[in-house]
Amino acid sequence: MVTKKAGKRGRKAIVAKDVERRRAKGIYFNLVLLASLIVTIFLTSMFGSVGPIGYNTPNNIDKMPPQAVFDILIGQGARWNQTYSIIVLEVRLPRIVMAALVGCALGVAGAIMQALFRNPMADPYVLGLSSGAALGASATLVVPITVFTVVGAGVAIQFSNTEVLLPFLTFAGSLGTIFLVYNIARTGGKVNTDTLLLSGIAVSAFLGSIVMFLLFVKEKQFGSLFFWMLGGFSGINWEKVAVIAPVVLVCVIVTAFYRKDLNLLLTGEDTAKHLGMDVEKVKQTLLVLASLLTGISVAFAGIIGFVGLIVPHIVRLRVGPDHRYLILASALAGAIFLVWVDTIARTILGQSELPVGIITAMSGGPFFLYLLRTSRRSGRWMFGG
Amino acid sequence: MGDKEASLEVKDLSFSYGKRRVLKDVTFEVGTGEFVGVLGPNGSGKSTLLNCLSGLLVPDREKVRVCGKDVAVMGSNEMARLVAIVPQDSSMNFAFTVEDIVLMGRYSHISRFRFEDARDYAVAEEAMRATGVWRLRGRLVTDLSGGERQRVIIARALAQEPKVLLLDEPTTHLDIRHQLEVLGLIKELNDERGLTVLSVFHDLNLAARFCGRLLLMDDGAVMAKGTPEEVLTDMNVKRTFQVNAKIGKSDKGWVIIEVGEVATRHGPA
Repeated sequence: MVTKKAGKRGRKAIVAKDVERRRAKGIYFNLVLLASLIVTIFLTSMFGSVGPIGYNTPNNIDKMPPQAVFDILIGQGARWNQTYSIIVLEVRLPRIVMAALVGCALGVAGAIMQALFRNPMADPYVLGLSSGAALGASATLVVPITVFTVVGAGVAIQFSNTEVLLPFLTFAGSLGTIFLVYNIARTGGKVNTDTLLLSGIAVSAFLGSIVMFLLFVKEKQFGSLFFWMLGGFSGINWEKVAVIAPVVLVCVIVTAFYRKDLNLLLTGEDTAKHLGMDVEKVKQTLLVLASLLTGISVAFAGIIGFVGLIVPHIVRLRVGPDHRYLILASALAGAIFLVWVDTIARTILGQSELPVGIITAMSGGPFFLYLLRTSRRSGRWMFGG
Repeated sequence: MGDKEASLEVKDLSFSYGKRRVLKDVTFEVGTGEFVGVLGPNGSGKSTLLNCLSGLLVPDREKVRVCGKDVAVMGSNEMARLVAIVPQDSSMNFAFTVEDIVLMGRYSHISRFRFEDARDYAVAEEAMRATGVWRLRGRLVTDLSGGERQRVIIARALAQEPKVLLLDEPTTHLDIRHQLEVLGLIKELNDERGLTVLSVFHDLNLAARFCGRLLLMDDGAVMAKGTPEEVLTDMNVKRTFQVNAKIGKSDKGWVIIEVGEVATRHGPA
């Protein structure tokens, strides 16, 4: 009896410091992630043919020393072979930055959807946003390709109408899909999350079949598009990065402004409304943000599943459900995860590439099953605790 | 009410779900600083009434006014600064701390582009102290007992700095001691701060003990309204709940309802 009381008093004493400790932990975790991302960029720049880490060093060129990569990345690479500079800055770095941006976008999109639907299984892939975006993208198969040339500031830039249309089509596809899925699951003003997931899966499968049909009919483009559909970062250059970067950064910053709204939505839509939220408007804004993030990712990297599912979960285990820390942490963790996955994808097979989507699905599938099992045993774990 | 200014005015309020009329010309007023209880059998429209008052359901124009403002045209933000709601079920699956939950009450006062400032923290602290959850502020709500959690929800409601507090059977899931504690707390807030309170009750005795006035609803209409003595007569209880009851008074002057057996349908009305 006595020991029990003493234990209780001990706990109370700790409690007062808990709030500060949690806050410090959230900020600290984000800083650790930021540092890890920087380290990741330096480390993954070492991978590839010509080295320092990688197979198939061509005979006509010496293997790159790690010091060269480091110097080139911090802008002190003048003393090294010009080729090294090109390999690091023009081949590897844009690809790494692109993977980071897409990982960031998918991580944040997943965090938004999981809060919005109060369901740990929600992510852009499961709810059909990715399929919708893919359908939008395959619509470019149907449109005849025209090439435009724009001359400005002494440079002529060539681009095709499909290249320009692609991000818009993927965005429209994902946005249309999420509104469709959401409204199917909505009955009498309430959204049943079970119905939501099931309708997401059904719509996703349906749209996927249309995509497959289009691919089948347009057999000639089948090869390249099929590969694109599996997700990957081959053929990435700085121009593409320049298109996606502002969209992703703006979306993540705007999402960060909705941190309190996301927290409130977790406690239920009725409660959120009672506490003063214009629930419908906030939900629409968040859906558009998630669709933009997913759409732009699919436009440049194809379908990369499960990142949006796994990343917020792992982050939540560390920082809890509070979106003040979760949004940025999901962005950073998503970036780190996808940069490493892409590094594996482009190096593991030596000369040829493994599609990124295959690796994420390989690791994501089992993780999803694990979630299904654990969430049935203890419903609490799902949103931290 | 009389001389007091009305915080809640409901005039000829009707509400239908599709063809089913759930509220029929409900009219009443709650004066500022009153503690009013709403009673009635299941399906009598109590919850629908509460939802119309809280803005969850949108009533017709000019039917419901809170502090003189028409609920039908008010935005949820403005509404949240006037009315706070304590729901029946406060179960939560999310591992937020008590302080996080109470600070959520400040949502309507904080713009999206700024952080909580010293005043927000001060209001939240005051709300937590008033409800006795200050010592729990670092704990996770998922680790609290039902009684503690309901206090946290009341603290969140106070952090909204509302003029009116609406409660939907706030003590249904609590044992008798915690029921008395939570209702005692609400009565205290009502007495000391002049907070207007409207609460739905299932327990007639608790309602009679804590409320200054009662509203008895039956089949979507107001059956009786007035002091507990006026409303809780054996006749009224029998007509609305189909239960025989003996009404008495305790030493402290509370109306006491001793519930008998279920009255037969065809018995004398």
